[in-house]
Amino acid sequence: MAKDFENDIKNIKSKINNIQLDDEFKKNLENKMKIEYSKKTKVKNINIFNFPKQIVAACLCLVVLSSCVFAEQIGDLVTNLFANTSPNIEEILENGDLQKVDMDYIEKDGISMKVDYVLFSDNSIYLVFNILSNEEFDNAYLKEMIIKNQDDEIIYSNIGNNFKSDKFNMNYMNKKINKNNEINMIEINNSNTKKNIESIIINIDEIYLMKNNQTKKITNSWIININLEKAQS
Amino acid sequence: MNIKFDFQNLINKYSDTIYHIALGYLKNREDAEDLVQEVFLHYINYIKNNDFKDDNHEKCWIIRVTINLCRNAIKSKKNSKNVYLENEIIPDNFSDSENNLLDCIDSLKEKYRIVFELFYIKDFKICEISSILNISEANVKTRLKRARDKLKKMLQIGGEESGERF
Repeated sequence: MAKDFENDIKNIKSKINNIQLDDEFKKNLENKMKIEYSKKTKVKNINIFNFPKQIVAACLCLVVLSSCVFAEQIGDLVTNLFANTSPNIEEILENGDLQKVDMDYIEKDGISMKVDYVLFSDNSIYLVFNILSNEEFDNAYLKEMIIKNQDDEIIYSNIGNNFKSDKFNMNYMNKKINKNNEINMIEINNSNTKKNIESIIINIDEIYLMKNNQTKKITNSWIININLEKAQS
Repeated sequence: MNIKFDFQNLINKYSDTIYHIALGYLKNREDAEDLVQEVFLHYINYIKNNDFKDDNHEKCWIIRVTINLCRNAIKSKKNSKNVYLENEIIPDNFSDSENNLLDCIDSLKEKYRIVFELFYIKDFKICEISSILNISEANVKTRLKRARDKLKKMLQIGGEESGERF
């Protein structure tokens, strides 16, 4: 009796666990969840760069259609993005190395961040950040940031005394497009950068979000790894 | 778009378990499927402001929500006087003795049935069931023992009292 009972339980368990939802149902559910999640979070797109909204849209399209985009077109786009920020940007684009970075957002504390483009010239690196946040704000700054190469050598740091190092300097530009859209560009000048860099690791420990003169500091650790050999141009 | 959450993985991990538990309560495939969706929508609301401590926390939370939503659905069904399609879910490949046992399990009081199913069918540990149902581990063990005893008693008397809640 007891043995039959145990056997029946075992068989029932096996048969019930074989009852499965079909794949189509699961796929539909996944899509529904993505839509609901997107509605709930209402993330706002803030691009740390200097370009108008039309260009932001174009940039997002480029991300989606990256495999179809030619390097020249990206070059034209980035020329527009950098317009009025670097006087010789066309020359840098022509002679430098522009790489599109294919990566997922790194999310911490409601702030999602990634790098869309890396542009090398002989002595500069331009990083195009793309940040998403749940917070309402009209300005933002990246603080406690350290960037290293594959050999753990510091390419840039604004932490402590490193900030004053003459090994490199940074041109960190902010320009408001409207009250909810922040534009920043980061240009790092370091004469030793390009030749040493195969990959870069960006570690940001603090982000400041500002709204109506009030500043909110968000402390966490956003770590972005970029393998430049794999980046597309 | 924030892509922190791997919804596909989440669905693959939990949807069938939620479905089985929902079938146990609702006895109807469509209702159970609706409930699976409802659980995951609750999940989205929850993760908006909260993080799970670990996978176990997440799993227990999901099962607890599943059970609560099932209970609510049953109440709602009773109020709207809908009729369940009892045993619609039982596949043809169950033997007579297995069918008999399933009927007996189904006739247990809910507090015994859910403990029994989570432990024997879904392989949850005592401590996990304790966390899901918010009762002590001793209480889980007691309910399990009583569920087993009641089932054996029912089987001994040939399921004659299957209409009665044990």
